[in-house]
Amino acid sequence: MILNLIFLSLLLLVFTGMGFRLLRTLRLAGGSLAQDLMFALALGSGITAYVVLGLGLLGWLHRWIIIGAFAVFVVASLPELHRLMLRFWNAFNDRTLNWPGWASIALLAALTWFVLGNLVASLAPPIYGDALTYHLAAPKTFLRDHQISFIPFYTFNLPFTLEMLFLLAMVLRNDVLAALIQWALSVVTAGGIYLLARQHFALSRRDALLGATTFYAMPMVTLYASAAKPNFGLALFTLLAVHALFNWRRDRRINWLILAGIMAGLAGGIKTHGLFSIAGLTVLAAVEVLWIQRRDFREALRAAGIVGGVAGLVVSPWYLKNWVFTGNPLWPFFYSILGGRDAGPITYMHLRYQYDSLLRAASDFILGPWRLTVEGTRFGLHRNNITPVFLAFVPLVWFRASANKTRLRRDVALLLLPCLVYYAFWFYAFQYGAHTIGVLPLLAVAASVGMRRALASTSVLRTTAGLAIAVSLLFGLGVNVIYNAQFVPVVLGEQSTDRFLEEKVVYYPQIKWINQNLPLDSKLLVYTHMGYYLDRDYIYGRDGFQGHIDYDAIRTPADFVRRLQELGITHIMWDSYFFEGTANQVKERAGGDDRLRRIFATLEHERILVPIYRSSARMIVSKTLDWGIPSTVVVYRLDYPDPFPG
Amino acid sequence: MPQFSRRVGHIALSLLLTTWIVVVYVFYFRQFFPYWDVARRMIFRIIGLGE
Repeated sequence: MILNLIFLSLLLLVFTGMGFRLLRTLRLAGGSLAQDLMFALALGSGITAYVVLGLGLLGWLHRWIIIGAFAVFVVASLPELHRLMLRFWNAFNDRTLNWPGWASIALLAALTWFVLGNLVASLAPPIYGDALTYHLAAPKTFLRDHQISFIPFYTFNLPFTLEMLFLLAMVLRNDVLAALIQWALSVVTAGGIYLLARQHFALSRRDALLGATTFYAMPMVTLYASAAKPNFGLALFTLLAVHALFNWRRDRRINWLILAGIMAGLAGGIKTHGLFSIAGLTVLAAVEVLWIQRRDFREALRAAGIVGGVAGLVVSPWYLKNWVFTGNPLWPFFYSILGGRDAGPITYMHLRYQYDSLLRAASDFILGPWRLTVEGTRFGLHRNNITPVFLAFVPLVWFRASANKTRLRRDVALLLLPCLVYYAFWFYAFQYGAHTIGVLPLLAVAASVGMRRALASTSVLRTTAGLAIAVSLLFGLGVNVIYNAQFVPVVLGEQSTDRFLEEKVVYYPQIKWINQNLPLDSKLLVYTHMGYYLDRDYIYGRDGFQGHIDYDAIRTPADFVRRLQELGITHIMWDSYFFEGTANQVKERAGGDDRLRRIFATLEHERILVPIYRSSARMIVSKTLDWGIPSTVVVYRLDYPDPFPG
Repeated sequence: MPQFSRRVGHIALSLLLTTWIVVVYVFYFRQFFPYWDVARRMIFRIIGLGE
């Protein structure tokens, strides 16, 4: 546990040192120390991630090369860290500590509680579904193959900036370090909210802390801050891009625009949704020039061009990679227009209706923020719920404004502009609640302006606002305690890692059996999605999510066997839960012909599929509540017929 | 008179914004009511009272 935290500190220091070098090159260092540290950390993590990507594309993902590259980073960052240390020391000595007030201390204490609670969860072995499916599984696969290559699984070709850092963490230490990176970014995001509120909205410590704490108290933050997922990379880079752009508004130095572009580009490299951030930032730059600076269209185009151009350049490696590998830079999206190798069978996008409960009418667009807040399940799960603080307090910015507050209202409007652009793309693309995380820190800053206004108002409004904020924090506290409590025994060593994973990870006992019993050169076809803990080569076989097997082209047992042989499959991990879904989908498309089940039955009857392990299992539905539904797992050995059936 | 009007407007706006905050919070928490039993079991488990 302590070693993981030491390694995390080392990583963060090296990122900061590397990034500070670039910040100085851009002549943007020298602002407040906190601002410099934040931008440096973000830049350094981006540089490191792109170096790992480069090594991966060159096929150099060997442990000693990665450690060697990191050692170079350590050495290169030392002079920069020395500079920062001196600044830190001077700032510390010059500072006279003012009493922050009881409210600020209480908020800081609450924020610390949330942060530490999430830290406990981050120190546990990874169990989060998406992490086991791809955020950790993909880097593990790349590391095993010593290269980043094309794997036709729907999420393995997304932009993976943060996953490159996870890969580095896995080489330097372990997967817990990867989760700790996400946790650290979540904390820095809260710090970024505080900083933006203080520097550009002239909020007091208390009000800026209100924004940071109510954001961090959101159940969504508790659930994602400890998972090896990239959410907070997207949130932080978008927030810092806006911060850099606001710095440009203040002193008009073009390098701030460039930095805003870099940050937006890094956001675009975190997740496809980061492209929405780039669009938002580009629009914000143009609107600032036209609306606030009252300059001509050409100037606006220039500012937008710098932000969009730099962002495009930064994000391009991910999309160029896909273009070279598959012919479609956005693989597997827009297959019908752009095509793309092995993208045809990937039809999971058709399933998105489950999150598309909103219609696409203008009225739905307007009602979206209300529904996102009060009907979380319409956008995935309750954990995707957005705190009511945003909806309750952001509109207050526009009420009770006296004349001298006009500028503040305008600044909040500008802050909300990238949120609106992001929301528009989100609304017309894939309406999943958690994907709004990219702009939630910006909403937190806007909400803190509204909260200040309410708390400075008449007694009834002040009391109601105070109660509402307290209720949000208490609710967040409850979720934080309930969720994170499940990790305490394993982190304290009272529960073994194996026992913990058996309770929390789908089919972990069965995966463990495979790791202990199948030959090292086995290659499995698995129907579950969470392959991270498998220590054998494997491909995911679920229909609609992968391009390895086009089930519509598999009509006979011989077709299936031939395809498995082409893929080099030696074993199949069949499970009743995920296989049922695949078989049902294939049956539906085949007009009621239950083809896949029949193929499996035939191959088992002909002893081509030989069951070597059968186990009653539990498909875990809720890790927190320890809920599961019974299922069965069978591991088949493939005895390929000779001669091959015609 | 204008001062009186301003005072009334001020109070009305405060009440309107207060109502808005209350409505948002009531509807927000309303969505969790069906899950109260789940929360109760979790809390009981954490404090060691079983389910």
